[in-house]
Amino acid sequence: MDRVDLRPERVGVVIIGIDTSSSLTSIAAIDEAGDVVLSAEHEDARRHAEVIGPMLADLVAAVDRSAVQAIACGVGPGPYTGLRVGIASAIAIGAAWDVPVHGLCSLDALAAQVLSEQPGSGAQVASDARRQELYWAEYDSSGERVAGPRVRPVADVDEGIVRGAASGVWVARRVLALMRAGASVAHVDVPLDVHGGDTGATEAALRGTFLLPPRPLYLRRPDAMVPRHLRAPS
Amino acid sequence: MSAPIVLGIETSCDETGIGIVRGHRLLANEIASSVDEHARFGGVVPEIASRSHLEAIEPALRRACITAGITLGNVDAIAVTAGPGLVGALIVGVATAKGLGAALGVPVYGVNHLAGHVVVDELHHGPLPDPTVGLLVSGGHSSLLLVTDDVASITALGQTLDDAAGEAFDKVARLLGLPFPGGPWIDRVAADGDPQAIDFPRGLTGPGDRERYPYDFSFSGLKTAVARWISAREAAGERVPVADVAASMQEAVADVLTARMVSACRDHGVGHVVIGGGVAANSRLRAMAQERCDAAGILLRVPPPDLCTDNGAMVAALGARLLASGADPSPVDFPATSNLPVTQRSW
Ligand SMILES: [Zn+2]
Repeated sequence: MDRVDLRPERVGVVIIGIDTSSSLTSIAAIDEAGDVVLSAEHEDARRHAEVIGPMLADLVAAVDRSAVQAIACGVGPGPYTGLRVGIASAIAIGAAWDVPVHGLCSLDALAAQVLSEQPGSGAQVASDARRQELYWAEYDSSGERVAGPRVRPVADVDEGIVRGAASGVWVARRVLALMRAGASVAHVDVPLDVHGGDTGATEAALRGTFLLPPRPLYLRRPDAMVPRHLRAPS
Repeated sequence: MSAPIVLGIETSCDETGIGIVRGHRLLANEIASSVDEHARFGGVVPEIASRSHLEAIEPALRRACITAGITLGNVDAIAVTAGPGLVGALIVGVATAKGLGAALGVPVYGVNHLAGHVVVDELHHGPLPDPTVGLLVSGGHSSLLLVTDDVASITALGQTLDDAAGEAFDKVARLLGLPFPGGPWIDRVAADGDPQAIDFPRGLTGPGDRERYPYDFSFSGLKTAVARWISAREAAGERVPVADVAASMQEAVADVLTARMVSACRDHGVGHVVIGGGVAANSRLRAMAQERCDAAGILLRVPPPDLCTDNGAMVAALGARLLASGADPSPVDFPATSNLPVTQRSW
């Protein structure tokens, strides 16, 4: 899938938004005006995979499936295990309903929310990356990302900047806006799997004007830890 | 009316599996493995496995539907491994299953991986006899199970006290300079060796062990014995006879596993046994199991290799059984549980 199917004028456009890049499991559905049809959140950093079950059941009961145009999901950056829950669910719903699944940098959704509350200025936003670090990005007043996403030590980031969590509502709204603007879906050869240390490439490729495939922005290499019981003698 | 279609999802370790069955008929069994990415670490790295599952799951889902000649809209129920396994890996399958279940409006069964290894043989050899003894041997598990009440009741008769059988192969393979995963390499190299060349120890066969651990296994002593034997050769400046070591080590593993398996059958009056897990592909284990079962009048069932290793078909087969028996679907908030006990067939 290279291009978004652009039919924003269709009556009853509904975008489903899912984000699990923080301790929140957040899902929502919005209509063609960006108004919230349904929104639900559950805060528990360790139970995303459990709580998303009943939330999805409620969502499906509330929306007209034939009106759903896209599934929008936050692709992080976010702590890994929880992050994958929202993306896997989004992929599954998209496959079941045969609708496109668009990824969005979760910090872009957080920034869109922040900028809606303080129009006219830019913003720096950050979310919890654990290990005394933050996922961070900076935006200009038009909402375009000008730096990041990047992993930064908590101590290096100004205290005043907004720390928060992306919501399903704002993931859906931001994806709807990009679809309307005719944003293309990034090809899979965009270096989405770049890890820490290669942020220049990430920033250039992902300024926030692309819709992304539903693949996580980990920004860190996997901990190459073989559990003790699976380890061979060296 | 034809039997319902069940789609099974397996992501408990390093294989992403999607299986589709219609009753006892296997329609598709798609597997994507991340084993090559783990090789240089000498074992499965959980975060690498989890990342790979998320990359692989949608393509596997699509391939499985094409192979089965169905669309997702034809699926009547979803089954997914809820444990035991690596929790971060399990969660990818569970979240996918919950998304599919909600979107398709079909029940979801969160099922036990170990029970799947036993029930999968129904796809190849038809309904499991009741009772049946199950021997599960892989890099992740080594257990002897008693399966009764039409698979409604599974109890653990015994398990490994330390390494899994597959791990023993991996570790000895590494000592011999063979690649990971070690099982297939040991099997291949052993073909040119003498299984009687070295008398490696059989774990838990000392005085009193038969009474205390009638159906358990221990493989760490075997690994240590192999390591010691090799260093002694090297210290003496002698060449290590790789084929003989592999064959003798393999002989010890197969001997212990099949002896315990036959005793479990005899002690519990069971006339059928099914072997599952990746180590079931080992040629010496299969041959020795056949000989000993024939001698004891036990009917041996071993599924083909692609149904022995971790796969989605085994999950679908168990889901189909649950659906057919009228079992309630799992609650929508069921968790992924790394240590799900074998006695719990599903949530
Ligand atoms: Zn297994």
